[in-house]
Amino acid sequence: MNQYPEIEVKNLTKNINSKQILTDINFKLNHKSHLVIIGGSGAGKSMLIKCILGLQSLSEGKVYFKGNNVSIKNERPEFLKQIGVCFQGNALFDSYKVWENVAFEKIHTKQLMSRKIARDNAVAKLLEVGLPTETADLYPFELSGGMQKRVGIARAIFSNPDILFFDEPTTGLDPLMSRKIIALIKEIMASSMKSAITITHDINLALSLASEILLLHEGHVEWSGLKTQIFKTKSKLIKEFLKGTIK
Amino acid sequence: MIIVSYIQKIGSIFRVFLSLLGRLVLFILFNLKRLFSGPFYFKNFIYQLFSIGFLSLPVIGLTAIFTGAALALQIFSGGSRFNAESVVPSIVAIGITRELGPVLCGLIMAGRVSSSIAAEIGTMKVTEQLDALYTLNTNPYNFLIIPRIFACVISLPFLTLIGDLLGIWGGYLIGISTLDFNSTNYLVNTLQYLQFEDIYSGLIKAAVFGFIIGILGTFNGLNTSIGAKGVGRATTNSVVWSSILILASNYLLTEALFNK
Ligand SMILES: Nc1ncnc2c1ncn2[C@@H]1O[C@H](COP(=O)(O)OP(=O)(O)OP(=O)(O)O)[C@@H](O)[C@H]1O
Ligand SMILES: [Mg+2]
Repeated sequence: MNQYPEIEVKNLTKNINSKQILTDINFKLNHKSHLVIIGGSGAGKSMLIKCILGLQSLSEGKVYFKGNNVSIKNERPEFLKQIGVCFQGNALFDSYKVWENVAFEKIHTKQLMSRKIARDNAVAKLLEVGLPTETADLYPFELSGGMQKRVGIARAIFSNPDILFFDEPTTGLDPLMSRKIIALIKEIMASSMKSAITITHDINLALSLASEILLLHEGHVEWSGLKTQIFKTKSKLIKEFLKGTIK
Repeated sequence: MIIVSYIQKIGSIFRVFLSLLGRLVLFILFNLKRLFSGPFYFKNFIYQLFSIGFLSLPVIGLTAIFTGAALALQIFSGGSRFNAESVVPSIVAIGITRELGPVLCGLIMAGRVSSSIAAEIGTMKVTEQLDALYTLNTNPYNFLIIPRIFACVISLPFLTLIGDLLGIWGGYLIGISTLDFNSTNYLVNTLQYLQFEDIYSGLIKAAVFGFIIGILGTFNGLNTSIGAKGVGRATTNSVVWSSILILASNYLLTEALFNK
């Protein structure tokens, strides 16, 4: 029924001040697949996500969402309704309570949801990501880093989006908390049957989440393919990354 | 050679100023466009009215009272040199409503409000909260910028009006306590020569200052460069630039409003 991939990036190039940051990026995000974009610091991962989301303009190329060109401004609101983004630093609104953060889109975009119902829904989402009801009325700065990450995830999945974006979901968390967050993301992906793009520099995270992997290096796609193919590749960089794997 | 390098310096300062002005104009136009094409977040506006306007009352009030009192003393000592002590009430009133009320209010609000707007929005930018707003289908201009600018434009005239009243009252207090004015005489004198034009021209100035404060606070906040240093710089810039623009536009407005 869906002949189009969820997201298709075609010939995406991004220059800032005549410096090329992303060069001719092409990839597809298929249904129910989890694409992990991996790369070292400064490879351009965050920039790529920002270009896809429309937070940065493209110098060249196009981004399609279900066949619609969302690099055109007019097509974007529909696109934004169907995605959820979990930011690297969580980006919670510190002047709003936790539940208001989670239900933000519903409270503020006039989608006719009473505060009472919005709050109930938010509390339900908080429980889903493993946070007790009491956290709903706290402010984000009253929570630990791991809890804030969960709130960020709850906000991203609140309106049941078709595509989730996770920017470095485990950075800044201790190993135990990282594992818990990874398990949570896996659980969400398994139960929602939706697609996701995660960016990370951590090969272990990539291997445990991904169905497909894309290696970004100095702004271009160095390798991309199914996770299962990654051990067979001859790419030197992939091998470098894999050396970091804990078997 | 020295002269050439001076001229170059002046030229480059002028160029920076012009490019800033150009970007400000574009920023204002963009806000106008968003105002008509996006939702108006009324709740945010009310909240900003409270935090920008209402919470500034104490500092505005205190400044006005002390300034009015000092002004009364100065005019008295000046006036007594040619036996014109009786002008104190009306000069205090006119000086405050036309000039000191709006300008002091503008400068204080530049320090108090423009900086906090810049810091708040700058912090939201560096912590990706603006990006998050956008991905939650909420336009930051409509949600954050426009309510703040409106709140500034509305608040400043009200604060100035209150400042005017309190400033005159401060002069009155000194007038009747240390300067031996008769209470009724002072008030009659104040009202007799005060014209409606004195007050409303001051309020028009205040609204323009409010606009400057709102625009420069939000503009600098949005243009914060990444990092904590960026936020500091944005805050400083917003105060410095809005103060300069307030003083410059005060002169221009005075010309325009009073030379008729
Ligand atoms: N606003 C900007 N202006 C100029 N250059 C930028 C800007 N943002 C990013 N860059 C440059 O783009 C390149 C890629 O940055 P990006 O943040 O996408 O890296 P990354 O892969 O996310 O790295 P990290 O893992 O450290 O977050 C870097 O060289 C960076 O200096
Ligand atoms: Mg990054």
